[in-house]
Amino acid sequence: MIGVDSGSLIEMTSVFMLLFAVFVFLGFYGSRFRKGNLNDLGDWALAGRKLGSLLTFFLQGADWYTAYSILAIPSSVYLLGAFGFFGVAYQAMVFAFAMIFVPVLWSRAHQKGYITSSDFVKDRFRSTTLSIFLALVGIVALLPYIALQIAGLQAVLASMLLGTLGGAQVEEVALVIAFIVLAAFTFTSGLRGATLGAVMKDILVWIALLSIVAVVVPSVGGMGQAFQSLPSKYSTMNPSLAIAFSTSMLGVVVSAYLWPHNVTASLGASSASKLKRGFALAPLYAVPLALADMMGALVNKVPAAVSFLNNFPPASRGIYVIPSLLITQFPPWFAGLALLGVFIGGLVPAAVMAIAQGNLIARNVVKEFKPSLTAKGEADVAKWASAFFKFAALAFVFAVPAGYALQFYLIGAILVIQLLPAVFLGLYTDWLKAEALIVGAAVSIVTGVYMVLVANHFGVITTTLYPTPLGPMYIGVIVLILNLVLTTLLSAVIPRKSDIKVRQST
Amino acid sequence: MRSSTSFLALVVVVIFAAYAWPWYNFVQPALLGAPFFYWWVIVWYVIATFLLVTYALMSESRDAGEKQ
Repeated sequence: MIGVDSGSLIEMTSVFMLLFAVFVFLGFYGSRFRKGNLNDLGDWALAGRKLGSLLTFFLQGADWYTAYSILAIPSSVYLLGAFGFFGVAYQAMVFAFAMIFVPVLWSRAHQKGYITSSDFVKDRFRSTTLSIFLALVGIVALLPYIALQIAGLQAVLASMLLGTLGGAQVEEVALVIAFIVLAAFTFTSGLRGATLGAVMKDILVWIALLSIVAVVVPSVGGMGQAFQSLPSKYSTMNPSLAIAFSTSMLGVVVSAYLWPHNVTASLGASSASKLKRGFALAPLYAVPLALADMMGALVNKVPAAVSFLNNFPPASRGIYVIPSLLITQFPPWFAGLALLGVFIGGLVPAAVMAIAQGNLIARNVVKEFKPSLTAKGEADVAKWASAFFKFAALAFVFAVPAGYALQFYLIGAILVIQLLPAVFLGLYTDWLKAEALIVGAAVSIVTGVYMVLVANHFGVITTTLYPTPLGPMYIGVIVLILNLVLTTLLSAVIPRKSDIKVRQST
Repeated sequence: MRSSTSFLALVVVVIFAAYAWPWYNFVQPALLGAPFFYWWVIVWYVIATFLLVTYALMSESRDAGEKQ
């Protein structure tokens, strides 16, 4: 038999739908939470910068620990062994690095009223071309990341509905309904709605992941026994992958807080010290995630879960590791609760990502071409744009099979990492020139995309590592180095605008 | 340089030294059956949180001191 019996299915889906209704209520209720003027973009998109350290912690957690961490990393551990653990091993470095520069960015943003990192860049380098270009890079980079969240939502629905008649159709309808509801409450409540949803998401995900660990570890006779009987690739990785492991981690670490939605969530903090406290606590969130990621190895020792996974094609099986354990090892009501946690674990970040895209379009693109845009007009553009981007990503997922989704995050990161010279270095120096930053980022993005295509032999994208003489290396880091070299060299040769004026006047 | 800033620099260096290169890619000593590779990564989340919280509190008491 595949899937669950009809009694269990009803119990599981009822709990799932009931809790989804609670989530939706929180989303709409968010508009009344720490009430402000939702016709103002800063208020809609940054929750009026009123989030304290606890809510900042929950939002950072919900925003950063997405379907990628909850579903895609267990999947890569399942498929690749210990190497896949790179996807969680970087978490403490992410927040240590963010601690260096994001509070500085927060302070600048607070003084000058910035909402996006492009606002900062425009002011710093006095170039609208640069700020528009970087805004577009951020928007495009977010599309595959949102698509990955949707692929996670699909995996949750597909595993609940496995074996039911017309399951595939129900799954598509359910996904569309979930997105209409999500778009509606993001439209009304902005970051406030997402934050309340984030608290619920974080709590349910913690319960789900820790319960899995508590049940699975004893059932396989303890970790020691399980790891000894598993293939050795699960205990340690092949040493030849050390550079791939290290560069993949570092690429994620330096790009993490360049993602527009992470900037949005950070600028929502009510003070720099509350933001710092939120960052300081965030690595703790990685503890249950890392334990759950180890289930990508241990699942091989749980016969019921293995036979559940066998219903899916081998290449896309990994994403079902966590759902398979929830469905086969727990009572149906608990599986429903935990799967809803995983489901909104994809929805909440998708909402914040779409809010960030809306901000960038409204402030850094539309407003530049139509300066007469009022504050309300700006907020309206952002709201409609964020709804549009959600459905664009949804359409993308219906068009591209989900199995391809796992690399989406690392592809987006290759783009977003190119914001580092302007945003990160820009906080400390204005020596770099706008023209140099544009050329450096553009050339690196084109090179990066081309290298991804070459590494995958122009076929299905299954890797973002490029074979180098030193061993496979993450493309994001290679092209970041290219960008830094180009930007520095060009900045050195391009004369300062003020120098030109001086020369002309003499 | 302010003392909290130098402390953050130290914290960042320590955390990167713990993780950035996979020199922890071996099995023994295992903890509760988990290979060293896994438990080292997890234990350091707790240590990193402790270090980062210490920094956050240090920089706050500095800010409070400046306001007075």
